[in-house]
Amino acid sequence: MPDFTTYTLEEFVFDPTFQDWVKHPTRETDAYWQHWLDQHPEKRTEVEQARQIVLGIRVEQPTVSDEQIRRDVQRMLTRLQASEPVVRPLWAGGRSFVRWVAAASVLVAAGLIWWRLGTSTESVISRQQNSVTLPDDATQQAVNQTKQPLSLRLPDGSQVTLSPGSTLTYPATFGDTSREVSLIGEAFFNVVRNPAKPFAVYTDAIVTRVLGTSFLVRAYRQDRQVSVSVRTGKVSVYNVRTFQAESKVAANGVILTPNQQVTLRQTDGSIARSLVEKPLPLPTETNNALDFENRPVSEVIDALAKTYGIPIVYNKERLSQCRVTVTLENDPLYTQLDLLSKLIDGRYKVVDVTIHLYADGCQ
Amino acid sequence: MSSGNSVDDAGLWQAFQGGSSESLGQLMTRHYDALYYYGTKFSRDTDFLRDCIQDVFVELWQRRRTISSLVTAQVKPYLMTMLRRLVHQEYKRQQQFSFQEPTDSLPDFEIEFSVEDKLIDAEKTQHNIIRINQLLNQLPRRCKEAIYLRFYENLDRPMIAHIMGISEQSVSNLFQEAFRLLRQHMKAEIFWLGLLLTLFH
Repeated sequence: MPDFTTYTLEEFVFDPTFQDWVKHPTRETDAYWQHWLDQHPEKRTEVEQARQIVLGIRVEQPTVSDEQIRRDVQRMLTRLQASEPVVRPLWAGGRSFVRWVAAASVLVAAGLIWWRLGTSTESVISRQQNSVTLPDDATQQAVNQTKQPLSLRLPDGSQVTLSPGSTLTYPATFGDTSREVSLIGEAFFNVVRNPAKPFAVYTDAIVTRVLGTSFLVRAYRQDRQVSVSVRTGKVSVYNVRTFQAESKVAANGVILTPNQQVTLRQTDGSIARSLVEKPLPLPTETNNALDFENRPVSEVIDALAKTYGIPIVYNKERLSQCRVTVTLENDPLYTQLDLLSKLIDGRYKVVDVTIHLYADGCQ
Repeated sequence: MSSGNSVDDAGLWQAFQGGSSESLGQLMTRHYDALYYYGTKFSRDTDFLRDCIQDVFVELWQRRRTISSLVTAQVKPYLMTMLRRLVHQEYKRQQQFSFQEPTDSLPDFEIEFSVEDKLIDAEKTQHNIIRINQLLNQLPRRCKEAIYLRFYENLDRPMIAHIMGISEQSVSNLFQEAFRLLRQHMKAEIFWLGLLLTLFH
């Protein structure tokens, strides 16, 4: 026991033994303190003051479940693995192959597995981890060390085309409420539709979430930017930090539709939403006629917009007199637009995710 | 799952520095509550906070060869210092990467002290304590943070200074100020009446 006789008010308040007596009095501690106060009556006022302060300083701490702690510790440990460089193949090179590796020495909650790569840009050179035997319910990791794209099939039937130098990590079985994978590098995803289990691709900085669709994610370590571009369907892209995996409704995402992409530059955090470099016709719009004979140009423009799912903005009135004869099939969108612009003596510009067409009109 | 492991913090620290990720995991398990409680005073966004807590340990791992070895008493304050820094850092960084307009406010220490109702038996004392509680809640944020760290984490002045990033003298000043106000208040009240009523129970 410290020597309470020399204690100041402050020292009483912050003394754990004193606090304990005030907040959780027992017969023994009561006896002790009453006895002590009898011997030092000059301290009575101070002790009472200190006691009242202790009773007025309560803090409600939030509840933390053991489950939460266990989960977060596991996530942290998984992230340690990701912050190490990719383990070298166990057998000698020469042959091109794709190596399947189970993440070693990490206990993983069955079903729901995700990891988020560290955001530090420091490179850490470390010793290789020793290989260990495969645990059950392991994370699967596909590493494409070939120069060709590699196709693989996920547990739910979704198809992934993994580009060279890329790594995809996913569980042996998807969880009950979501399907989560993580990617370093580039991959094209063709996701089986399942609204009950949203599919999410985690990369270092963003999460791409879909119900069922096809899209490309590009997130190479050496790149200074991450991009997602949509082929079909619709994806939502979120900042990985604000994405709440447990809730299926995530706020603040950017929704991308086909032929759109979002690029997040990691150096300055700038975000650019734009059209993909080579827009493709939507698979659902293959029946559109792109063969026009002396038709109003507005028909052609609207057909193009519909085929690609990209709004094309133009002055309808001004162009109402223009008629064109043109076949637009099989050419890339921008080639088609070039042709069309020439025909009406105009020009076009991509503005954000729409196309603006300018022309003075026809005589 | 209790392993009956009774390695102290210094031992775990040394082990993790030597490359044991399990020891790092144990450190995280052991100090999770304290970090979480402290962190919630800066941010209500629990997912963000949980990420930050993990970030602390991921960063520790990445720096394991260059950081200093610690004695047991230093470990928790060290972790809390890192958390405080990372919460502020990541909050700021997240503003940059978010798809929203950035705001300027960085998280401040926010705490609401309340009263131990169940332990107060006399009406007069309760009145005093409520007044004291109000006074405490009106203290400047830094005072409250220092009080929290000392009262709830039982940290000493040098450690509080380290965590808050201020000098030890500043910490002393914070406590001096808080208790000056408290004493002033208690003198003004008819205090001894309450005293007589409560000490004879």
